[in-house]
Amino acid sequence: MSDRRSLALAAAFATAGCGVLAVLFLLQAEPQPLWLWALFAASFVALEFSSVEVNDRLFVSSSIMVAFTAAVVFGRDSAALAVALMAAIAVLHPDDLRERRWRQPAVNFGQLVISAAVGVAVFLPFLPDGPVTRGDLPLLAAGASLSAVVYDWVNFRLVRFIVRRLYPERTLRSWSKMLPQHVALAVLGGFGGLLGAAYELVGPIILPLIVVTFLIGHIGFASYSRLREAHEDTIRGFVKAVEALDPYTRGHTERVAHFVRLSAERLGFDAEALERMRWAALIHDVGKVAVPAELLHKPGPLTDDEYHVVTRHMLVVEEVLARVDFLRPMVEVAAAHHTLLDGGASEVAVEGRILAAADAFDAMTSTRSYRSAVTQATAFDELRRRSDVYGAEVVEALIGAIESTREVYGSPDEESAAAVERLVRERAIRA
Amino acid sequence: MRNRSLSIALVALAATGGLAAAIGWDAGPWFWVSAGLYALAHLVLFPNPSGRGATLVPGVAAAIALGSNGSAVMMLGAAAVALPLSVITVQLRFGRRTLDRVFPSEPIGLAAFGAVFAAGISVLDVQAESDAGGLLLLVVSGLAWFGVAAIVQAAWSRQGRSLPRRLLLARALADWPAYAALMSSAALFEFTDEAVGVIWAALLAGLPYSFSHLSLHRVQTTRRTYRQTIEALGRVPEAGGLVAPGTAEKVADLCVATAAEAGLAGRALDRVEFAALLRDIGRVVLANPAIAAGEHSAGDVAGWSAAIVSEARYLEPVAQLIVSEQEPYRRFGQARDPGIPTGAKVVRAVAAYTAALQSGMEPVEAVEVLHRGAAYEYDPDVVAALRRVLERRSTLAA
Repeated sequence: MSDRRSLALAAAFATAGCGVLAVLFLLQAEPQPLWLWALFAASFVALEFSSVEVNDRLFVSSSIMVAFTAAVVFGRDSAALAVALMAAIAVLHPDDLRERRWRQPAVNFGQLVISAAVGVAVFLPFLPDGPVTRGDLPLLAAGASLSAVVYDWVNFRLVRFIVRRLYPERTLRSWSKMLPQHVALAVLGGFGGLLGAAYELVGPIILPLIVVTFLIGHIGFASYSRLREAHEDTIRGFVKAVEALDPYTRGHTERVAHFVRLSAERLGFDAEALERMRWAALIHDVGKVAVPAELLHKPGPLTDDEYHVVTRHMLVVEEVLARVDFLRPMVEVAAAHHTLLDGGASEVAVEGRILAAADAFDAMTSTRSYRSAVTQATAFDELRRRSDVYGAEVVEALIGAIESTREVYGSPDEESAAAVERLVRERAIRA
Repeated sequence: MRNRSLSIALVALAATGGLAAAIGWDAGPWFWVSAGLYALAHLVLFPNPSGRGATLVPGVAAAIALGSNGSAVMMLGAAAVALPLSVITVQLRFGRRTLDRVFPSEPIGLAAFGAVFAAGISVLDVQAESDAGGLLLLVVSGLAWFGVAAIVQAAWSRQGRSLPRRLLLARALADWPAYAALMSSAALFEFTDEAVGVIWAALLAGLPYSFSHLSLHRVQTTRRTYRQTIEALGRVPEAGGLVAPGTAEKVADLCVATAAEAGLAGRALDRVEFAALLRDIGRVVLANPAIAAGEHSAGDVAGWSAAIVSEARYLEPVAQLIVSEQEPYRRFGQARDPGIPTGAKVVRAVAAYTAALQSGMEPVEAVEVLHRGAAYEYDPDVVAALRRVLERRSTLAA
């Protein structure tokens, strides 16, 4: 990131944010009473800093709900100013203050103030002129939902602009591929509008009730996120320990998981399927823990008997892992891929074929105890030759995905491959 | 409901009492609607952090209490009339284990709630559905329900034979989020329905409720999966033929009971269980014949296990327990080491007890081995805790 560019961007966004606030101060009245605005602002900031993972990798902050509740409560005359001011103070993250970072908060200040001001400006026509009545509820809920989506869209465009300027090498998912997030924000926005109307109609007694129920949900999602991380950490740790038993396959699992993700994304699998296949890739070789080491490290190919010993041990471990509800479908995928490597069942699900192709590619482009890594081009040729096993679409997806990342695996050229091969053979003869 | 005949008689008595109250006080159609809601509330379980779901009855009861302004007939009479149907619903839908957990703790808790709420309304003279006093009363009576139900559940549980009551009470008390979420959602509905209409009130109460429900459901399933994963990993050495089948599970079960008896709870108890399940995982190294052929001590296995387990950042405290397990309580001529965690001392004693059993000893003889080593090899307090657990389970009966 260029220092001058980040400075210019911070200055531009800070100026734009201040400009928007100045315009709002001219057009709107100050939110009253101040203690109520402070209460909403505190809730907004707290929720902005504590987004929760409601599903795999889907993070949602409920701050947008508070924004639209406040918009209804403060009314048409001061809604946009009240919410923009709340957004303005939500950029002061304690970490930034502690480490005296100001460029990122300055950029975030402009980004949040602009998004909030535009979102609430869209909502203003939906707000009633006088006191809220029961008849206003449908319009307020619908308007808040729509405005929340606008808020989200403006925010996304600004974030994309910032990322493209500061980190041109990074890729961002397109807005249209984040549908679950937009739906969650629309629901939260609509609920916020409804809550504001209920506050006006019933009074502040409803606030503690809402806070308690949401707090429990919040605590629950935070707890879920921690547990999920612990679970993934445990599986990864175990896989790492398994790989330590065989120096030739160190990093193999993570690479296979990477290739699987690349292929599956190219084949258009949804986020849930990607997650499932990532788990399958992570556990696909766990069965190796029970395989006698002399077979695991044997220089040269296995005999039929040895091969049966290896597969028997792996199957036993797969059976143990299949007792875990969550892992069961993945163990089936992993088992299907072992079947495929045996040249077995041709009716293996596409997930199993993706995993098998990724596994084969990594095996070919890594040096093993009995042979050296081949070049990437040779591995691609070999995969294409086995298209009838993995499926042509799977093979081309893997090759296309690796080529598009410009990553290169395996020996750099045939000469290096031949030199390593000689060393490996000499070692095998000595053994 | 352990005594079948007595249980049926009590349920019938409660239902008859409820019916008599309905006739005596000339209850209107809302009484029967309430009874129907009570019965329906048993069709869905609200997920709990502990993994044992709660019925939706606290929510229904809170709504009826607020809506009827604390009428005891509506709160308790309707629930009593619905009791036979509720028992059948839970038995058919969720099975015997859930039935034993829900009854009698739920009706007794509800009785405490109804009594406190009705008394509070008459003393404070408030409009439950609109005054802040009604909300306060709901909190107090909700706490009464929760506390009474937890105590009854801990005292009544069949697990009382294998686990200390203190642990069962702590587990029941950990389920407060279900009560709080259900009651606050119901109160939100009651406080808003008049002003915004029933449909909008249901939406207002429904979304936060769904948020809590979904979050706790995810916690429950992820916790279950995490535990299953650790159990499966603990079985891997057995799958490789490196440990006698069932060892990890047996040691873990006894470790949890002993650790709870020794006063451990919460996360510390989970760590003891995980350490017991994973203490032999290092034996997978023995799949290498070169290592298997050489000499290796229990300390080596513990070291290998700890090395594997500590690869998972979250399990580092568990790896510490596995390493500390090898340390004796006190070496000859030395003061005891205060740095050894109680969890490690529990795993050490239970593992020694299990090994003695596997060598062909009777339980009494195996405990005697521990007694001989008490104060040097094993912590005497832990040995005493293990003995109490075994006595409660009747394992030591001649």
